[in-house]
Amino acid sequence: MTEPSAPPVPTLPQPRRQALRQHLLTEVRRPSRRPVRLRVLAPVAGVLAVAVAAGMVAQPWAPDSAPLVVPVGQGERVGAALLLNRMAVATADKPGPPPGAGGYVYIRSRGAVAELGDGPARLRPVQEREIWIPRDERGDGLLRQPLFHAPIVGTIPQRETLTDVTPNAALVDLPDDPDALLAKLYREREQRGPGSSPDSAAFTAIGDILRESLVPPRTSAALYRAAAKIPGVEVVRGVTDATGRRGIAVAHTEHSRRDEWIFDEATFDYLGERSYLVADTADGPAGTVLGTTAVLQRAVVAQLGQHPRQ
Amino acid sequence: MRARIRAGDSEALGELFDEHADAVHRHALWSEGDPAYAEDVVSLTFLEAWRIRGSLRPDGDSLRPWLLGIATNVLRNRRRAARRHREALRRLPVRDTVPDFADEVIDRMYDADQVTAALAALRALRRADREVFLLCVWSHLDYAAAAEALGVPVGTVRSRLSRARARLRTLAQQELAGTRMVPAEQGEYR
Repeated sequence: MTEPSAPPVPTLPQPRRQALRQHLLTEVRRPSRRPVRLRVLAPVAGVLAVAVAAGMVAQPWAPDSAPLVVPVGQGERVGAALLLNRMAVATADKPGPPPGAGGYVYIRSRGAVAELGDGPARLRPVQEREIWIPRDERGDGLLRQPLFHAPIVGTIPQRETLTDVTPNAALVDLPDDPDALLAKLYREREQRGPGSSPDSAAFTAIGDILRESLVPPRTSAALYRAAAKIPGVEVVRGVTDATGRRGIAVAHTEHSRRDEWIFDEATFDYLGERSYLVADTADGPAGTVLGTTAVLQRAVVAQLGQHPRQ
Repeated sequence: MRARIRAGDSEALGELFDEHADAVHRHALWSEGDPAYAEDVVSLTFLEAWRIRGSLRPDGDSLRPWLLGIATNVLRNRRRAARRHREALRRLPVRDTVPDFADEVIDRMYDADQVTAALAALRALRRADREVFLLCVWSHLDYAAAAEALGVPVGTVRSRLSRARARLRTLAQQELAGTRMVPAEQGEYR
């Protein structure tokens, strides 16, 4: 398999190119207001200088790429178990997924992740994502998500057929007993080998299920009760998801990174997720957001690629 | 040309622009994919080049590595570059609101899927590796020129490039195997 070759991209239109050239020459011929200071600085701040400016000022052309820094709310451990158990009780009364078999679970969400590894983490632009997951049988799914913000010709949605997708039924096939459920998650973590801590891995595993599947109320209740038993789980109030909806978060922190599941405070509906730093690190100061999502719609549809009726 | 640029000959800057603006523009599009921003990168790169012309080495061949290095820095520290040339950017002529790329150009020249696929693959690389890949493979700079552009040792260019290629190979194989693509840096989405 070869590496991607340079894709042809549109050239600057000739009139525009001339306008840019003219602008350049006018600018450099303009008498500088700070000539001396600029000369002195020039070699230092030149090609070799790679320090990343950590400024938070949004720039006019790419508002999405400024680091997003949020206030780091106080986490509360005692309240977490109470909240999760209240959620479990409330959820048990909710209507379940529509009856019947077959079809696909459709989930539409919106979110942004940060690019890590070169100075302060900056969120990439928010992307909308649609996924179709087979409901009962392992098989094809579908993912629509712009993989890259390439507004060269407008937004080009990436459409990707997923093969061999674990069906929703298997994802949510979990014990109703929270202890048994948690034991299963810790066991699976053991099988995957070392990585994050067992507690963090269990928290992540539950988060993965909550994010992109259709969970029967009974199982939701078990997931909440199981989460309440994970050491270090906290509740954080006054948080927002990727679309700005306010909610209450269930959170877990490891290696200075806090992961939150955000719920509506009144209905306990799942709103989205958020991850951010709780301490100053190489990836940015405390509060730097590493990821944020919002689930906008969950439904069951009959066909792959079909949208639910509103 | 180097001597003229160093001496502050703005005519020479114009010639430099004529010769390399397209290469800088391509590099910016490959890096960011955003046409409006790519134009700003072109302007900022040449403004920066002029600003630091005193640091240009008097001997050497093409100025393309130097310019692509500056462009890479502008892309990396775009806020700083924009701040430094804030006044100049403010005077930048406004883009037309009509579509910039003539239809016939789009039809003839590129295939959106191909662009998206190629750029998406690059997104999976770490920035430093991506920069080297773009300079060496797509912009055809040799190792020494890329090293000059980035201000790093040649050995670093080699190792970053081989890491980039290894990662792209892995991704290509995963794609063939029908695996889902996961953002490299973070498993935020599964």
